Amino acid sequence: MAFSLGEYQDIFLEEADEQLQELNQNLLKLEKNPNEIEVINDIFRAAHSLKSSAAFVGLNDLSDLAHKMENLLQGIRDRTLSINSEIIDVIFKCFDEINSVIESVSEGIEPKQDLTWIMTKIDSLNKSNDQLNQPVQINKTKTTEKKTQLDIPKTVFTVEELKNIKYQMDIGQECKQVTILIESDAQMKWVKAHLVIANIQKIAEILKVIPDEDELTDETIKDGFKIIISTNESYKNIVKVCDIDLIYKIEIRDLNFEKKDEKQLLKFGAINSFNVGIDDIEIIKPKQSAEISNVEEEIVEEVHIEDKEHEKKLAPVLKTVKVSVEKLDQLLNNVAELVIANSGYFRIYDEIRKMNEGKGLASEFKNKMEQMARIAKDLQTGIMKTRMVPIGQVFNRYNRLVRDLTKECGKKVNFVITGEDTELDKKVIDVIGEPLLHLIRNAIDHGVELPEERKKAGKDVESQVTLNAYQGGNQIFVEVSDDGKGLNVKDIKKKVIEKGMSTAEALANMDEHDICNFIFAPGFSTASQITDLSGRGVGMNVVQQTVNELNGSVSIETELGMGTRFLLSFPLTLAIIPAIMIKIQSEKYAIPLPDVIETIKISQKEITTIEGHEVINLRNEILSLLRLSAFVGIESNLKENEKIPVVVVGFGKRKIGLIVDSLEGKQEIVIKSLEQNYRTVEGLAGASILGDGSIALILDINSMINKVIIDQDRFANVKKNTLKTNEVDYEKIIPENIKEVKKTENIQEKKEIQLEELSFEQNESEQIVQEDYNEEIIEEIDEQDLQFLDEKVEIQEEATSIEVEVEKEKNMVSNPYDGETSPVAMAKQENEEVDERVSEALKNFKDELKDNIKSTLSSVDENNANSELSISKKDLDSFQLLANIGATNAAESLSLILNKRIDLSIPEVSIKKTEKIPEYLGNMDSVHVGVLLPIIGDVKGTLLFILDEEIAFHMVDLLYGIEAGKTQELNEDGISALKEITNIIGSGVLNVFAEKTGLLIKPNVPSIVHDYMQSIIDSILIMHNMENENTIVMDTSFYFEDDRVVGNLLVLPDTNSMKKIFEGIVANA
Amino acid sequence: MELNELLLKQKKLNVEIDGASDGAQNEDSVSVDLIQLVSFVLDDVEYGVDILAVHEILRMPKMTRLPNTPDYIKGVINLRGNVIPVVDARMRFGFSVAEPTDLTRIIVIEADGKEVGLLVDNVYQVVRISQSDVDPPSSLIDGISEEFISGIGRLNDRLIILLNMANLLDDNRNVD
Repeated sequence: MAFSLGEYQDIFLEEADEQLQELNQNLLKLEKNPNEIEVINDIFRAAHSLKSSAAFVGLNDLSDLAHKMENLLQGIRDRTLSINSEIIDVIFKCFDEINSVIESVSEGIEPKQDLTWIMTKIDSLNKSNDQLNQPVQINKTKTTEKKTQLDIPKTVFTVEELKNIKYQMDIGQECKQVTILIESDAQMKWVKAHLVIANIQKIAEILKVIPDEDELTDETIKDGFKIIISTNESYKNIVKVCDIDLIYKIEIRDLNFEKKDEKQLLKFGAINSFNVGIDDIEIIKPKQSAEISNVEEEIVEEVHIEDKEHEKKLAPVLKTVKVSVEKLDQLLNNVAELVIANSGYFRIYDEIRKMNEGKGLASEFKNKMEQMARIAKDLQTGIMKTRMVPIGQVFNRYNRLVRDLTKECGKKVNFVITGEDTELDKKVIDVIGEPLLHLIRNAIDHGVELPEERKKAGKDVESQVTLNAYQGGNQIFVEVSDDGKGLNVKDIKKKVIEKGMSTAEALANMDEHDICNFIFAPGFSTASQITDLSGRGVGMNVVQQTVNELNGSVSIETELGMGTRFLLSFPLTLAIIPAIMIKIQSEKYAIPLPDVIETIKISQKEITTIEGHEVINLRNEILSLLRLSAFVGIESNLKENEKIPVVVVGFGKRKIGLIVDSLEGKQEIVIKSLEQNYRTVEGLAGASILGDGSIALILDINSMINKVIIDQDRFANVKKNTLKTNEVDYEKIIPENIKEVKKTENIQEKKEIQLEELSFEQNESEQIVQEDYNEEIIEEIDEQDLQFLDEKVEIQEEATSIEVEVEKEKNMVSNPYDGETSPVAMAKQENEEVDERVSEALKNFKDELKDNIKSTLSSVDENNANSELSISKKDLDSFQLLANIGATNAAESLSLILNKRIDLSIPEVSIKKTEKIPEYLGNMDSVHVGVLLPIIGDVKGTLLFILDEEIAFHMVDLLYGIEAGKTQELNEDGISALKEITNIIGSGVLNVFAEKTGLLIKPNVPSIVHDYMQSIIDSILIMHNMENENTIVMDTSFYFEDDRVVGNLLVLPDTNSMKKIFEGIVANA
Repeated sequence: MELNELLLKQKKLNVEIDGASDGAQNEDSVSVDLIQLVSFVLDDVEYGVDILAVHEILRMPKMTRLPNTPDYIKGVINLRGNVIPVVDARMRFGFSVAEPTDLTRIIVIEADGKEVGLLVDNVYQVVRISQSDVDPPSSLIDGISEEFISGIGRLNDRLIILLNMANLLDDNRNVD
């Protein structure tokens, strides 16, 4: 069985906790203003009542400690001991010890703390003023006695009581009135009163207690209370049983009846006063003689024995009632049910109205119904308010913490608390303590600088740490801010990479805010050493988790050198939330309103696909879309040309758009957990019962956003992994929706094996090396395959031109994307078709190869480009990775600039003979616009963005927002626009290269060649002073949403640079 | 609904028997040994759920589909303000799917501390069976996986498969 202190344990714990809080608060005050006598008195009082209540429940060690502490405090109070930091520290230590004892008791563990060390410490402090203790005692007694005008209830008897007293006397018992005087500032007076009563009961019969025994509360017992007893015990014995802690005086008066004019008069005898109390030193002073003078002054209470109505004293009204949170929760649940049940009446009312044409019954019903609804609502708000607690009680705890921390760190901190009155749901209050504690700790430990540093930085030596709470709309905001050094984004980046949480290129695409959010990741800590305060990297993660559990969020604002602010926001209440109701087919779902940013309607053509994800451009921000119908696994019933309703939801800094079938408006809903009878379901935060009794499921926006992000990551991972190695464990990394891709990849692999076999026969064939690059997207397989055939045919130099043309046609068919679908979705759709095509192409290819091996062998005169450049397949794979990231960047910026959906093909990296490039790009005879972006720095070469003439004009139209088809020639404006576009796209690509290789790679001023394809390439060749016949090509095609090819992006570094790039990749891998 | 009344009566009776057993102790152990089952038929085989686990029996109420859950979770229903999941017995135990009819019932049971609805084609009756007539589960039973069976009861010439509800919501347990 758990350790227990008996029936008063709960009261004791609660009071002790309050007393401790008070003590801590006051001691802090005292530390600041050592001369404030009121504060000392408060501390003394609290310590004293703690001591007595501890003794009362049998915690003698604690009581002893409190006693010693009291002695120390007394010294301070009487100015025999001056306050110094040593004393304050010791007292704080005392509080901590007391707290730990209280904590173990509340956990049901027997407290075993050894308190002797702290007592010895106090003793040593006390010794210095031991001799001074004596006068102090006297002083104290004096002050107590000085009290005048004691507030003790008057003695009033009813007839029955008087009769009883008379009867007791008649049977020979002495009746006495015992007045117990309790220290006016004592706590739990009523408990003491009961204790006294219980003690007296052992030796006497209690005739009456004033105030009534049932009404004994701290309010009714101001300075003391009276007991009328009948006993034959001596005064001494009576005093003995009454003498418990904090009772300083006991007065006993004999009761006698006197006959006077036929009336029985009750007479009170002289007061026998006994001083008891301080430190349990019993000083019995039967002061009968001394008190006689007093008797005259006192009004002798007389009561007539008459049948008279006595006005009963009104029972005092309690100001507060303590209620357990569970009870409140239960109540709130019931009320919520009531509100919901009530809404069911509206339907019944409708029915009644239809049935009864006459108004009578229906309108009466309506009145009652509305009244009920009103009452239910009032009840609901009432109970919700009951759950609200001011946040101050959490905040005030931190004063002490800050004091200790600043001392430990040697920092000077001015801790400011504002908004303590802000009320929060009890549930939030209960759990918010830890996260706040951590944030404050961080602010002091990491946030603010040492005084010297601050001085150097020209800041005030004393730093500010602020804890603030306020309400805004439906949210409560709590912020912890400091004026310290701020978060260092560079350090965070370094740590993130070090811990492998992300990659440099991923970080390059993030804004500072996203990077700062890494501090919430588990295991993250920039602290170079672990102190006992912080540095283990779990704290911030816990902060975020706790806050998320409460449907809240954390955000960071930071400025290097200026400070950091953490803003926590919570919904006002947790049980009932406003929500946006939406529908998929006929299924209703609720999205918590706090998660909703806005609702918009878009048209199908606004949707763009980037990297297989549907996105829209919402006010120049890329917003990922999630089709809710797919998420919940049913078909959407959106019509094709209908406007699509999108609910933009956000969690933290992340936003996504949910595509729904229809919006159904706002509603207050009660959250019911699914875990209670089932389990957590992915994507659902719970269920809610609607007015008609049906259930609507509540969406968990957080998990949904995470899912979108994870999907994106997975997709990226698949790409990376397939590029890095052929032995990828597909089952592990590929989500279901891209499993189909795997199938085609297997084919690709198979094909490669076949190719390798062939290459063995053929020995040296550059095309085969070219074919070695493992592409995962089907289109490329296809295209490359055909391309391969193309060149093969070329090499043969045979008159197979008809065949070539056929292949080319095929090439063009397979090239453009299906405008509506992502590569992945496309992969799904065209899977079979592609399979077929691949195998067909393979077959053709094999046949041709076999036929022409001999001629090829004789015609191969060039060296293998790869071996010459010593480029391994692995290097090319790495390069492919760079190309992927670069191309994605480019497509994104292009789609942003043009405000149009831009799809891209996965860039093809290959080594080509430079003179073959125009052929490779096709359309040698049509006019193109090529924007040449010279690459400078460690790497030299050219980045070429090549567009069909018409597309270039179209692009200019788009950019300047003029009517399509207006631009018919390239003027100055057009040229500069195209240059600018290329600059933006090119920098995106080159930045990735630079970062990944560690080389200095920069774009120079772009130039434009408006000419035939061949001429464009020629001009590059001239620029490069072509010494080498082979060059590396990274080719990406961009497509408009209507499948028109936008253009190709080629990177053409010179041979030396190519080597450098590969070396860089290897070095940085 | 008369079935629920019956259920209540049976439960009461059960308590009475229990009470009687306290007094009678060893005397009449055979009759005390009775267990009562709510039985239903799926594809001509009779199944029984211990009446003590059954809270009530409902007609098919309005159901809300629960996405991202196994197929056998038919959805959730509102049972006097409680949201409880409904398991399709046919799907859960590996039978072919059937459309709900007028006879379709939901047996609300307590499984593993949770209230769960079991969607069945019909509720046949409440039967009493002696504990001694219950055999341990056998792998000979077709169709239903052994982990859902707690025993096989014999009642005259009838065989009733006693269901073990503890694994009902466990996703890791599957019919195959």
